Amino acid sequence: MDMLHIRPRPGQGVYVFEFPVRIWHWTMALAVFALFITGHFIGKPLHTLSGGADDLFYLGYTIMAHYIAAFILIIGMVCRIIWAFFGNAASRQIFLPRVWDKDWWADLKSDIKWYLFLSKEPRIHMGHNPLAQLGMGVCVLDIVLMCLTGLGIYQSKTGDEFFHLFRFVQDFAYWTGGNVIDLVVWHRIGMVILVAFVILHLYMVIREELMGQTTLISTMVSGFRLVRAAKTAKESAKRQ
Amino acid sequence: MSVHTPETHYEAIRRRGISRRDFLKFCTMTAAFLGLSHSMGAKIAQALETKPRLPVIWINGLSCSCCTESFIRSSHPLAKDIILAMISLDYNDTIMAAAGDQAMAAFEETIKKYRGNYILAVEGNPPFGEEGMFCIDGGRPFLHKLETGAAGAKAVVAWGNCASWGCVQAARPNPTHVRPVHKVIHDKPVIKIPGCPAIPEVMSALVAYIVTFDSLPDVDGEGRFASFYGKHVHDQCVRRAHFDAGEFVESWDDEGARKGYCLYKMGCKGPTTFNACPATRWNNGVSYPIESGHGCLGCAEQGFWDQGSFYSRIMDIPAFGTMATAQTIGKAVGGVVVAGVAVHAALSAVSHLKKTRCEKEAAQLEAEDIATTNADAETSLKTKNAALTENEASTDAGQAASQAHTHSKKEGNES
Repeated sequence: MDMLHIRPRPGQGVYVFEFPVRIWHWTMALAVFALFITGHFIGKPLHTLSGGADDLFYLGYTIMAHYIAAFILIIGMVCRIIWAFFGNAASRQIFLPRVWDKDWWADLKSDIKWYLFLSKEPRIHMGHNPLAQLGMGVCVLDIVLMCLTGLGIYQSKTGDEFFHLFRFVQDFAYWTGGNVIDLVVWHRIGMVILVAFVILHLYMVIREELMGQTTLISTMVSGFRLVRAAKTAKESAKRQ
Repeated sequence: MSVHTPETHYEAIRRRGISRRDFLKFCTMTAAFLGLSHSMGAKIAQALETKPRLPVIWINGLSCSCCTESFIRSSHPLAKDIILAMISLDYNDTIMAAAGDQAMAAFEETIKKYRGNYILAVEGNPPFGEEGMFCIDGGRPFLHKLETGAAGAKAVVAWGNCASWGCVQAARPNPTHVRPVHKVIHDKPVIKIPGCPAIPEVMSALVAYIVTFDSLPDVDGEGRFASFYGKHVHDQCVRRAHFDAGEFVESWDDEGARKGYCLYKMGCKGPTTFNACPATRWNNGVSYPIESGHGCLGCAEQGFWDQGSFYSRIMDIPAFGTMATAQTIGKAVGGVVVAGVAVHAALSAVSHLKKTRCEKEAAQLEAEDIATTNADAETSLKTKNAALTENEASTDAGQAASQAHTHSKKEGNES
């Protein structure tokens, strides 16, 4: 049976996030955090307090860290997309929400109701719920655009032939009537969207961890999703 | 000047009283600018000495003539002479003596004489609004002159930002509907040499290249002369070390400005501008804007007038009604998201607490319910057991009863 449709008894776990997915998730989290911090200081650098140009290279190192984190993110993203072909059903959800599926839309409706406080009990999802799938999909798209604009800026600065593959990003910026500075601006707007995503993501997982019926944060650590023991005696009686 | 035996560039340069030594210096410098090896200087010199001069026709559309100005006003007379001699302008309406009908006749004559061999340098661009009436040259729209000139040209050079990208007259809302040269001339190679103004040395290098190699130089993806537009100003900048070290000018005339620190925080567009200013410099190599203490405006880039202040790196985004920047959008989005999360979290907490309270009460009620049911079950069990003990009269009645009791209790606990 499809792992997404298993409905385990309370206290029982389902293996949802496979090892590569979990490793990827936490690598992303660290890389994105590093990229936020370094990116912020590249855009608005601090003035050095001591030393001079002969012995200091702090902004240079910041940019280097940004590039390293970016390459980790890009390679991770590529590996993750490849994994989506081999992983379980949950590993494909963030790339391909099942919008052609009627049940998916019904689930989405119930999710929206749950978040608007219109329904008392959330549905149990073994993978991501439809709303989360949409959110993650936007996030993945945003990260891809960030990678592209970033590579577009990077190739304009490096002499490495390989990165001239991404010349098309720069050509696109010129095609729109701008220049490389537009890539910088788009990169910044993409960052804003990513920050918004991170805030929402953190809020949602903490909320679901406290209010929902399944585990979330520990699932991303151990890979197992547990349905919590229901709190009312009636429900447990029903389950028995 | 003899019309019948074609003059070489070397002859034209010597005719202007420039020494052979300076000529060779120029050749070596040009080889370096083009990124060629040292020995190529000699090859360039040989080509300029032996091959016929490459005529350049220079026409002005809608422009401020600053490109011509930068050409003829280089402070060092030698550089100017060499470059002017190199270009050997056969027609330039700004600096030639002829005017009116004479000038028109000169233009017609020149393009006829050098048909298929000359370089058409276009400064400025043709307006399309009001059928081109915003720029009249010789009683006809400039577009006509551009098309006539380009028809017989070997190549068209879009000289300066106007011709390459549109510059200030193409800035929003582009009232005269100007178009850069590459959007008008499609049947001839167009080499862009953007800049406001463009660097004069690039033109002499271009001519030297075409004469030496009998071919047009490589252009990048945007059609610019690749040798000069392959790197950002930032990556060749004399103040780059201050950027990497985190030493910035924070406000005009502060200590950092006096020490020549990086102008990044004063809105320098060097990091996103392709040009060769730091390598060629201006006014015969005296300096270039950043070296002189002012940030790069990005004048060689497309749409640089429309991208917000010259003194800020945060670009305006016109799509959002009133001019917004990425920063204001960021603050707005961040604020909305945080506020939304806070409100939703508060509502969630309230509903969650309500629900748990309801559940507790329900659980209490049910616990009582179950307790009574259990008690019933217990009594029934007890009677059953009692009956059993009576019937079998073998085991200890009390033990069985207590066993039954614990069993029923277990059941209660489980539920």
